[in-house]
Amino acid sequence: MAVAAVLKAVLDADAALMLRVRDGDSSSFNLLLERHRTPVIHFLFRMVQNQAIAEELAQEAFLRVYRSRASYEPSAKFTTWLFRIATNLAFNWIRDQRSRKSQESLQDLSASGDTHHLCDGQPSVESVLVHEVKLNEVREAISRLPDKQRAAVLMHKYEEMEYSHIARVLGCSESAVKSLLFRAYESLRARLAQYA
Amino acid sequence: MTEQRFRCPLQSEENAQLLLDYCARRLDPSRRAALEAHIGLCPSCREFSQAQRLVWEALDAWDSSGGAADFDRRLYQRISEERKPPWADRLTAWTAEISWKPALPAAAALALWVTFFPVRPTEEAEGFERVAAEQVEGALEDLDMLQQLKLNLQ
Repeated sequence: MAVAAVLKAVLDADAALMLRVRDGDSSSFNLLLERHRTPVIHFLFRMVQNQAIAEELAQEAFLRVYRSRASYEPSAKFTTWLFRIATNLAFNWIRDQRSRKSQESLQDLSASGDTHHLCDGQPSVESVLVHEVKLNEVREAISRLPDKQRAAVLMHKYEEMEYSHIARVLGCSESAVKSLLFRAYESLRARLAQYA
Repeated sequence: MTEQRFRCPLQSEENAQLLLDYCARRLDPSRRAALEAHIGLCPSCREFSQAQRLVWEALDAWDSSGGAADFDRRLYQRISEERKPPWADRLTAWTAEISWKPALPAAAALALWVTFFPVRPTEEAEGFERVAAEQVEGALEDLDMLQQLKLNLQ
């Protein structure tokens, strides 16, 4: 077991960097930040559908990583740990939003920070509108998924994670992840097939 | 009708991973070829994979290209704030806890006093000079007295 853990740590360059951070090397933290900042922000943006909140949660995720540096042990892949922190932060935020019942739909919230998606060339007004309608439908369909299904789909589709990796992030079995994805994609097929 | 009702066992919750991986283009070539052969014969799986492909393409439209320009700066600022020595936090907390309300009337009274009874440095300086002159005169008088005493003794 111990040998396996050591091998994993050797293979996981991120874990090696994190071990250096633990030993006081702040430049290694900068490397980790450069490597994972964008995927984490994008994942959180798709989870909470608000750019400012996503950045805030990503800040908190990296801050927690930094705070935990002294006690870090490479028992799992670094990205598993990082995405677990990020996912839990997103779940908590979504839960808090629900409990507040502020009536702000996720679609309304998204209006503040996603105009940057259409940046390729000069598309016609019609194609922009079609794209926007399609995008809204995708966002809406994703936001309607239960939290765990949503996280599983986002990690599977956009982060291209393996089932086992998603399972470790979500703290469930691999078969549970397959079940989550099956049901999530079933819902998405029902909602999105016509817009593709 | 019978085609729509039939659901291939490959689409069950336990087995659908194969079809999902196929649509996500994550199957190795040999398994992909085997599944494609099956899909060629199974209208239900063909329909499933077509619908899943459309979902996949729809999700592709949701491109998240945004990145925070000053993300790192803000993060390092928060980290440096956490690195502050504990006494700085305690001092900040202590000053935050102090209620300045009781001191407000005293400050107002002091401001009024200064307004109506300003300090006059010139008068004070004159007084100081007057006192100094009197002290010099007194000293000279004392010297005169001493001289007179000497003369009387002689």
